[in-house]
Amino acid sequence: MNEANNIEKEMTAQDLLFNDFLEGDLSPEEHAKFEERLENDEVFKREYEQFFSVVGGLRALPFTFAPDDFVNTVQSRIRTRSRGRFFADNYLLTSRIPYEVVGLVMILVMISSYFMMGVPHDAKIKDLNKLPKLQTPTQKL
Amino acid sequence: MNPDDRKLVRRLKRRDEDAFTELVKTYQHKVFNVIYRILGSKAEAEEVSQEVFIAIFKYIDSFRGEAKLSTWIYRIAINHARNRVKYLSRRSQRAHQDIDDGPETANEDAPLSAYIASPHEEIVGTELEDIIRDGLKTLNEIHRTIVILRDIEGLSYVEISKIVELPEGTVKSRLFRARVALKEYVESRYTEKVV
Repeated sequence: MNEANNIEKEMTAQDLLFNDFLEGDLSPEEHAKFEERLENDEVFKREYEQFFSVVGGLRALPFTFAPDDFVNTVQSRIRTRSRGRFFADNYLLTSRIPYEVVGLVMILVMISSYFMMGVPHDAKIKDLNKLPKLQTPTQKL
Repeated sequence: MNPDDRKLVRRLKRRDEDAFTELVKTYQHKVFNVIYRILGSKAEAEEVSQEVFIAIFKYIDSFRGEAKLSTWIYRIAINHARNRVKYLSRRSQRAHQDIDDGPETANEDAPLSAYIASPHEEIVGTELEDIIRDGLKTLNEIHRTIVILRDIEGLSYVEISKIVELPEGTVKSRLFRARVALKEYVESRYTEKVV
């Protein structure tokens, strides 16, 4: 059991070494030592080639291109979703105005009209306290 | 961010339609390829790639230029692809439950091969290529994403770290684990053949 664990650890350490070599993470001395071992140790070389074949295989996977009509499909989906409001030609005219802005504008309009039209006169209000003199038909006579 | 990208972003924020066309034309294949490698299905990749560009258009105003434009786009693409993997995984679990009426055994990182429906989509390639493609599907989603970004897209650790929002050290160790897992998968496939 211990032997199996040791082999596993050794393999992981070796894979780590291969990985560092591929990533250029080895120091110049370690790099030189690695290359020397590759030349002289057949088993080590075979193990490295196996590891490299995976990374090389990944890099060699063919590039997959988007379908030819991709750009048009995206454009039309954006137009549909935004009901034609998205792009600049009609963006400003048709874009939605947030209700907070509408609310603020309304408050400003009301405040300005309040001041422009004038505050109700106190004097006029005072006049209302006096009872109006009513002329009766007898008084007329 | 380079001056060309800065100009493009400025035009995008002004809702210039030509700028959007330019952006889609520039990034469509990169986005599609990376999503296809994560999802393993062309139909799903097409749908998700379209969603990615719609999201880019929607959130372009929030792009502040702290990262490269390409990194930002990759991040959106990866997030969308990962969400789709989770969604497909959940759907697959539900389908299995309907059939088995058994307990949930899979998790969100379930192998992609569990819900790949169309083997006919696979491009005929070399034997090793096919095995590697199958091996990618057996990796969990984050390992698969990192190995794709590094070994297929050729991005730097710094960029990958920004895209997947993980520290550089974590990215390095996960990449290593993913490569070892793939190597073991390839070996097991060849051993099967010999036996």
